[in-house]
Amino acid sequence: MAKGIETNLELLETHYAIVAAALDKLEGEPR
Amino acid sequence: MHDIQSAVSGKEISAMSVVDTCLARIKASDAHLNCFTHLATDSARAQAREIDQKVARGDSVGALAGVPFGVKDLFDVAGEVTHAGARVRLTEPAAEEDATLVARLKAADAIYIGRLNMDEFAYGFATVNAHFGTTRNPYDTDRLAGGSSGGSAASVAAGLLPLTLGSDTNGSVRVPASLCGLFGLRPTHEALPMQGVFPFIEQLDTVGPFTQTLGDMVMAYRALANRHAPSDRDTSIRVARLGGWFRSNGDPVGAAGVDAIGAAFGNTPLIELPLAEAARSAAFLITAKYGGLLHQETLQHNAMGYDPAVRDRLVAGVALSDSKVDAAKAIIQAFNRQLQAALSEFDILIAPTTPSVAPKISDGWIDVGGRRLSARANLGLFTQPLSVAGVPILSVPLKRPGKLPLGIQLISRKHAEESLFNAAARLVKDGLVGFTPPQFELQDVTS
Repeated sequence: MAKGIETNLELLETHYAIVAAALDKLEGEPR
Repeated sequence: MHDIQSAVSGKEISAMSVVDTCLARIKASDAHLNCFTHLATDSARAQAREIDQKVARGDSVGALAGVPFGVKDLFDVAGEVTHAGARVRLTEPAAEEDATLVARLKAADAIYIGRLNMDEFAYGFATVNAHFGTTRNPYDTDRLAGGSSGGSAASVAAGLLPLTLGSDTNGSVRVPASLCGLFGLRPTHEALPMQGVFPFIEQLDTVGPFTQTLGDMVMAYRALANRHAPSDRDTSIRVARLGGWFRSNGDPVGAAGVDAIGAAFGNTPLIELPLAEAARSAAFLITAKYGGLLHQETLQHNAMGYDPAVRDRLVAGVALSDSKVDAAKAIIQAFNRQLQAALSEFDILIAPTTPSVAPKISDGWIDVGGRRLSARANLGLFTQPLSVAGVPILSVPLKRPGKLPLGIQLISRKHAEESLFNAAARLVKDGLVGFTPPQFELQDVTS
């Protein structure tokens, strides 16, 4: 896989982790 | 703009001379700035001739008679190819008709001058375009103009055009407005028609104007929205400053600007939208996914025609799972509830537009809370979370002569654009907000 795509996939995972943590907090349970 | 309209309609100056002066300024300056991707010289002169003939006959002329304007390279203009900043669209057929907003401006006798540079497919906050080049900031040509509507902003800041249109999906009007010291409006989502505008993320896409002055902004918005001045004005405005995410990640100059503006409205509390960071990340994910899906087919047969940086972001976005997209949508819904609650208590919320002034082109980085982040992806740190709510937001330029520009966002309820204009008028009157011409214009255009 091209390095640029890999870097962007990692970036999306970082953003998803922020979303998931916020959602967990809202729902009061771990995801 | 009012002066041009008045002079043209009053026969003090011809529309043709306005166009010729405008084209001469562009010719003298654009090699340094790279704002334009196309100049419509012949059609501009033809339209000017028609307006002058109307004036000579004593016919009435439009509210923007003789005002030159340009559009971001994603608006359809009849007879021109809509490139959307992309090489893969160079061979597309020309548009058959004008985008609705271009038609509205022309109907008001504003004169179309040309197309303006942007990040490819509006995916970026920098206007660094692999095919059409980088647009430079008139306040310091070694710095970014911001994006993705960078050509639209830099051309107004340099005094090449009094009015341009851009698009704002995640901040692409507000970010370059901030870095180029202009008024830039993201209107209420769906308040202005998108017909004839190349899409990016339809649930977030808006289009809006750039101007040097608030008066021009109001004039432009009313022409674009087909609206007249309201009969009543807000007498008291309840204002709050946004803290938390919007305070801890930016240049202290932005926070100081927010405080100064807050003080102009009296005792303005500092409130938090706890989900702002998550909403920003959610917008990032939604943009990657739906942007990727929009381009998936073209990418499959012409991936190498894309700007590599844009291509890689789009390809990664397609791979994002539906469950992650659903999580992002859930956060957006929850954030919207927080924002609506704040806007039920306050008429205007204020926050910095960008986390920093324009970064150097050679750096490509901004410093955010001690972290070095890509300017292209992160200049929208403060605009992106607010985009998901669909509310109108006006970026106003802090008055700071001799320093690089920085904008402040005024945020209000859906369809409350006039409330934003009223609040901004007070700030202009107090001398806190306003356009400061760049030295570039003085040195290069008048020489």
